[in-house]
Amino acid sequence: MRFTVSNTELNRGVQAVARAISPRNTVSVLTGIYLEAKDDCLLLRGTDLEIGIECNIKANIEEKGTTVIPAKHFSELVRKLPDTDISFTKEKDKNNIIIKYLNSELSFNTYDAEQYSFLPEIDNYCNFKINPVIFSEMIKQVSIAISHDDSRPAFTGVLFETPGDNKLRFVSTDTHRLTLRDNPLPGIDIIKPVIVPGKALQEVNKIIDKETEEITIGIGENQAIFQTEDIKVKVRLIDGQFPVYQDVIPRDFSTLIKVHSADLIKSLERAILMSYDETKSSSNVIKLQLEGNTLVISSQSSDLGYVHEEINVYSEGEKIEIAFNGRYLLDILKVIGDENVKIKLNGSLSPAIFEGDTDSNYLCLILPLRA
Amino acid sequence: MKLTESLMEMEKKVESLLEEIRELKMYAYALEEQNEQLRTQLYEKENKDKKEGHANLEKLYKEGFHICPPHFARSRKENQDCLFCLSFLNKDTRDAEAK
Repeated sequence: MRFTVSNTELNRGVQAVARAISPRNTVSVLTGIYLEAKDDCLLLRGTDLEIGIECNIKANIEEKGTTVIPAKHFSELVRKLPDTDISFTKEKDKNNIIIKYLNSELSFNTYDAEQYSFLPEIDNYCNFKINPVIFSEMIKQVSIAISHDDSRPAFTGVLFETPGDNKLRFVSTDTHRLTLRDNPLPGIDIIKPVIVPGKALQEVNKIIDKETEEITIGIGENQAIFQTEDIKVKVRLIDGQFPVYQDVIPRDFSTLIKVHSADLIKSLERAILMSYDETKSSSNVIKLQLEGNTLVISSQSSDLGYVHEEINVYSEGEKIEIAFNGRYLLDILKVIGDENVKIKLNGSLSPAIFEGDTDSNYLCLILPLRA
Repeated sequence: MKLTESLMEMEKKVESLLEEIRELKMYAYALEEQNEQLRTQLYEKENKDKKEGHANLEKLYKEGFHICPPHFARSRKENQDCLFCLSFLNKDTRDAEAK
């Protein structure tokens, strides 16, 4: 195996595939990066068998071959190599690879490539294309409500479904919050609802090139594939039933508030600061009180003091006093992406709906705290 | 047979039929009464069971456990409310009110 590659390209490929590798994997060969010198390019792979990332980079291939290099140290090394062409040589019967750059060389011990396994190829899957900027926004908006509790796998993922009307829908919930984001995709086929692991989606979001024209998403029986021109991410789907979320979303509401998002964010940040409690039992408890067209935001702490802020809002319906976890509110407001936000309330104990004033494709449901 | 005799015979048969119909009517009435009583008893029992079921679920939730299908009987972390449990409880209440 013999090839030369520019360090810029190599660095891009290595950093992308290293994201899928767990250094604590009990199968030692899977702690490495798989390299395959093909006819016209170098293929890199990394996987923990839950997520698999492969990347094709430009390289001058002199002799084809495969090897696996320990990822942790190799990715560190590649970051520190000079910005020049790097050549790799591996003899067939040896278990090391020689890396040459400028007038220097180093030798890296390798794993046996024949023992390397990757997520299998899938044949029958339906696919669709989506703009990467929109896809990234969708992931960010639903990521806030993904649960981190591994004992309930279905809640650690995002539901992908096509509810009809040529729409792609993402839903996530941690049982205290629920987010739902629709995006029109003309001509999209009806797909079987699947749950894609949230962590893997966040990795996909980090490595896809937002300047690429479109990303192809394929949904198979057990896997999803996210593919751009030179990067392919395979993700093992979560096996489980996503809860029936439609019943949870209230249809009627008794109070409507429209408020400037940036004003509310600033007030909430101050209120959260003043809600600090050493025991953490009541940290982040923020009270919202609507009186006419004034929204009062308040919090208090036995250690620090209190804050009372008033914001002018547009409102309809009943006056209300309600408490929320301020962090949850901030999370929503930061991803809602609209100048004004609509808050729909139904009494102080029922879930509140947050939506952009002009964009009806995204909603977030949040449970109030009992005062 | 003379016409008068035939008519008399027919009158007897009609009378006997009428008698039979009267008996059947009484029997049907008794059955309807009994059915109504049984229905009332059954409804009361179902309603009582349902109320007890709802009260038990509400009690379980208040004690800090999930009652929603995805997490039934698991403990609720830090006693935080659950969207699905509340929706389940409210749906039960709404159904009862609708009936």
